[in-house]
Amino acid sequence: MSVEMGAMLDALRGVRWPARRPVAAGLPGAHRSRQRGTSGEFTEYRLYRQGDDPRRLDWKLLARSNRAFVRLTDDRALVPTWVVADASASLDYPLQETNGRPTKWDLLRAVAIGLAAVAHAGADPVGLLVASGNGARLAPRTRRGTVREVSRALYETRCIGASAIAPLLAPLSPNCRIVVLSDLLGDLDETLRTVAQLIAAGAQVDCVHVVAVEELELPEGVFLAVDPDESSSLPRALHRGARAEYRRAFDEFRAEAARRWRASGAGYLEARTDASPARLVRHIVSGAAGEVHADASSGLPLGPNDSPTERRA
Amino acid sequence: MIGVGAPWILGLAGLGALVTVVLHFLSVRRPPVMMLPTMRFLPNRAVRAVSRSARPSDLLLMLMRAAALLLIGVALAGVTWKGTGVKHGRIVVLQRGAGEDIALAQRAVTDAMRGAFTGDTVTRMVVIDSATRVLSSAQSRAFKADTLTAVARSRFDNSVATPTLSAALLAGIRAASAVVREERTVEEVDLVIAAPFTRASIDAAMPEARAMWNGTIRLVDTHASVPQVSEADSAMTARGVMFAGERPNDAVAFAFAARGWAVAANSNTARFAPLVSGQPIVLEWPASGVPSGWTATTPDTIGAVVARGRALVFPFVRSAQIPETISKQGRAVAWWSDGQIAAIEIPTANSCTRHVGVSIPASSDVLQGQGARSLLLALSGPCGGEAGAEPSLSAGALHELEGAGNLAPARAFRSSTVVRTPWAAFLLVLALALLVAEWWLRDQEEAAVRSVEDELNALGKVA
Repeated sequence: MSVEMGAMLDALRGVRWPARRPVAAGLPGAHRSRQRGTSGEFTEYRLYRQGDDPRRLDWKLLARSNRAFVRLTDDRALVPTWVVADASASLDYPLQETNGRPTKWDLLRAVAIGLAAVAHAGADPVGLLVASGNGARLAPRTRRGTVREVSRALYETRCIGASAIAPLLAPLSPNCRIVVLSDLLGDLDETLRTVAQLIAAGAQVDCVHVVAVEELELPEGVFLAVDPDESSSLPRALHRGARAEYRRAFDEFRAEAARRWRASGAGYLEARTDASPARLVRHIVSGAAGEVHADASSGLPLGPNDSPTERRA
Repeated sequence: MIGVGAPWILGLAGLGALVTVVLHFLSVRRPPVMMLPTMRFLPNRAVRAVSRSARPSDLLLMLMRAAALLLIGVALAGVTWKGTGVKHGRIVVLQRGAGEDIALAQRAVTDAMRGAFTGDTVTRMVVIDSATRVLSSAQSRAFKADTLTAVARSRFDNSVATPTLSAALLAGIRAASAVVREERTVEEVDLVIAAPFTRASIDAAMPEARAMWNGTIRLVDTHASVPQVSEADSAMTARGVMFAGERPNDAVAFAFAARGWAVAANSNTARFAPLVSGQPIVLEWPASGVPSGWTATTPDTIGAVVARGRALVFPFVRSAQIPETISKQGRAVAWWSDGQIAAIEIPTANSCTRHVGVSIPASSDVLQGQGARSLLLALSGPCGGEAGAEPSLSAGALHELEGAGNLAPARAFRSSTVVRTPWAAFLLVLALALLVAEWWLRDQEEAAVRSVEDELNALGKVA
């Protein structure tokens, strides 16, 4: 783990990542559960109905009022968190750092480790799925060293080939929290279909769309563009006349992707490579990604100077 | 000092090299490949585009191509190292002729040759008398004005050629070309023409000949200042003719004798000499009208004979025609009214003989009248024409011919044909070697590109 990563984890110390809505029943944890259980945190009374556990009767209240009430309490549960990282060849862009900006994979890796650290600090099990690349898979765990394992797996990953995120998401349990980090240049349609099914089943999904600044501001000159993901596709000429058309199409794609993710009920955040990873993590865990969905239809991405707090305000 | 024989060839080569360099900066080719994950958002158009770069592509090939072009240009343009040497050329044309004042000619030559071989000046002498002689550099250096008197006056006094400025100019241009060819460092040429200029010196070729000399000319008139002789005075001058060949009829002999002129028959110089000083005029005027050597023709009548600008009108019978071979040898002194030659003067060693093809009836008195005076004066005048008969050119006309401005530039006399550089063969071979190397290098690069493309195709990188 690099020095920069350590500084980012220091910056995220104390940050909590509450679930956006009650989670399914599970092991005791920090998130409010949809199950009314027997914990000591009283919530309300309810008239006894046949079939209720007699041990939950409030005998003192029965003695005073001669009516049988059942004592209800909120349950707290853990939420397993899956960090799904897209390691397709397109993430390895630009090929080297330019103007101090990291590559898309560098940013994705930092955000993934930050999210894993925050979730792990909240005692949530953290797992890792890597699409493409070496296909690393770490089951959600809460033990010590989980973040280190996640970090090691990500650092050992090489961006190769095309991504297929949907097959990774399909077998996941809906009783979990999923963060998809990708440039969305792969199987976007299938991924969105799978995500919609998971969300409908109760999963909490966030999408971090990684965009390189160099993709927005293409370099000057005439080039022959080749898609690293789809090597079989014909190359296309990048020249002055094509820039405006490219930018318009790319803007439309990003806006459409944001709209579709938000429409499916997932959170969406566009992360440029010139943004701070720690700030992006704070933005995601605060739930602002989901809130931004509502007001970010303007397509405004989170820039390097935007803070999640300001966004929430 | 570097000289260029054909600067336009060097300019063309330089332009070609410049275009080559520019093309290396701007070329239509397959642009460099760049991995772009968002390539799908680019419009799907042709992958060949004009690539303009701040740095030239294929620097080595560009240098080889430009160098080959420049080498060819240098080889064909005749670039030479001229060194330092003479810069001024001087051409002195001395044209001699009837009416020349020897003293004036000597003075003109002396003045023109003063300082002619000092410093950065080279001089070439051209003498025109009966022939045009362009003296070599050594002959010009050794030429003395005193030698002018040693040349027999008959060489030009009896010359049928009238000294003309156009002939002198052409001779000067020829000499200037020789000087410029021999002395590569010459930058300008000075032309001095010393000649007895008369109005007859200006002929029809003069304007074109003058236009060929692109500079000023120094003209020195050596014409003797002989008082103008009127026709009457000319007629009063003692004259004499000796008849030769077939005897003329009495009307002819009487016509001369009646004017008090000496007449001798059959070259009787003993009888002639006491009467007339100078060289005798031999006149062949046969009664038949067919001088020796002329071609007899069917007699026909013709109305007039013209001499010295005057016409003698009479129903003459023309019985002969002068052959072209003979007409080329002499100077016509009388013409029929239709333009054919009626009398011609052919120079001999010390004199001249005039052949007259005009048949005069024995009983005719046509030569007795005033109308025949011009014909008789023309036939009895001195060989080569009468001195002082032609008026000198005015100072204004001479000044106009001299022109104003600078001396003629030497480049006007250099040949426009391709001048070979001494090391032209070596340069051409070097250029050829460069082109062969360029071809080999280009072939190697293309082979490398093909192999890379094949490899990419195999990997499915490039369709």
